[in-house]
Amino acid sequence: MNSTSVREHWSFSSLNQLLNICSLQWAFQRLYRLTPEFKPASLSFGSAFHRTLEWVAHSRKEGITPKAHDASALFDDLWRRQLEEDGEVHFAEEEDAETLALQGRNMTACVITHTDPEEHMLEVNRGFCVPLVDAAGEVLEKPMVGEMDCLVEKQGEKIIVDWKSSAKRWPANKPAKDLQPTAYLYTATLLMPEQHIRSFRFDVVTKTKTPTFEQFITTRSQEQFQRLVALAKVAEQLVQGELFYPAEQCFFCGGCGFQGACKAWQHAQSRVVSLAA
Amino acid sequence: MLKLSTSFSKKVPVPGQEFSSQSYHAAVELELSDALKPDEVQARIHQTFDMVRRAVETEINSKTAPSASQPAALAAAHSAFKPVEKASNKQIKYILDLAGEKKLPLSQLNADVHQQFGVADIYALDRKQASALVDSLKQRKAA
Repeated sequence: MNSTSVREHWSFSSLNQLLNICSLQWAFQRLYRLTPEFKPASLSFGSAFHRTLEWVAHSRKEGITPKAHDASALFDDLWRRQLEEDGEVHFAEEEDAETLALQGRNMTACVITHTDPEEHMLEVNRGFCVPLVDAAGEVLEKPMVGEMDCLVEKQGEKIIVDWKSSAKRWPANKPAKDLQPTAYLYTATLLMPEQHIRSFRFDVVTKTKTPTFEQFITTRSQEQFQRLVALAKVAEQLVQGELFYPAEQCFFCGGCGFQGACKAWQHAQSRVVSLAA
Repeated sequence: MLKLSTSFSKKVPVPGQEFSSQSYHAAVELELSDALKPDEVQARIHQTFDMVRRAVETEINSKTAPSASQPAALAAAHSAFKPVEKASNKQIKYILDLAGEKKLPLSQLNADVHQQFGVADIYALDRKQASALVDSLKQRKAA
């Protein structure tokens, strides 16, 4: 996609990165557009795994549940192609292309094993663009864009599903606090009100020796939708004021490709102050 | 008899259309002899996958890049893919404000836009279409 033709927008991941992960990382990546020093293998892995699950979902939509062996073989192939495409990637300790290939094959097989035959795949990769409207009816200028992994139906209930791979099992309270279900269910109420979609599910597979598969269903209220828009307003103010700072004890620092720029951040700040004075 | 099922899918953006993608997918099923050795099976998988992948790439290229020997098609393609200036965020916000005053929900507004202009939603409108929609909403307001 040509970035110059894309309107300014928010997405769940952009809001989450700015507000919950690290505002400085957000700025380096999305505003100043620095080239990251490296690409963490976890990102390449996530891409290959996600594309594998897309294929599984497309097959399921056509009424076919792929065999675990076939899906794992596809992951293997996509993973190797992803590595070729990404060039030099940064592996964590005790990790290399082969160990991750094995892990991905096992995770893929784990997902297939847990396929629910009662569940119908309705849509895969549904893109959206919706306005952010606050409680008073004020429309924010930037819309919110995103893509739902899939929409499924089980026993008459439609559920938005997002696939996640995680280094460890999720804490039980994470789904209730996560911004993504809020963003996607908000979208569903605006775009598909007649479908009465009230549930969002995370399908989480752990990147462990023996992968585990867990589903977390959650829902959101109108209050939480309004809170999302309020957060987007704050995010807008942060960007307008260029109020970015390092999240010093962030869990994501190890995989961040902007560590060099981050270390020198205070010098850049000094320059800005002295120029302004 | 072994059954080999191979598929390849690729998503590409639609030129000139924001937040859009077209998905190309090809799949083929073959039966292989049980007598094949593992490395021969592997070779057939590789060969078949390569064939399917090439078929998808060819299909995409045939849709997006006409050959130089087809100047008319090329010109038409360039014209078709020339980025249209999309409605600005300010225009869309104004449309939404007007729709809000009329208590017109987004889903209905998108349906109207689809019927009137043949685009997926308000964010797919170009500037002229957005202006026309503003006029139409104002008229509705006045009526």
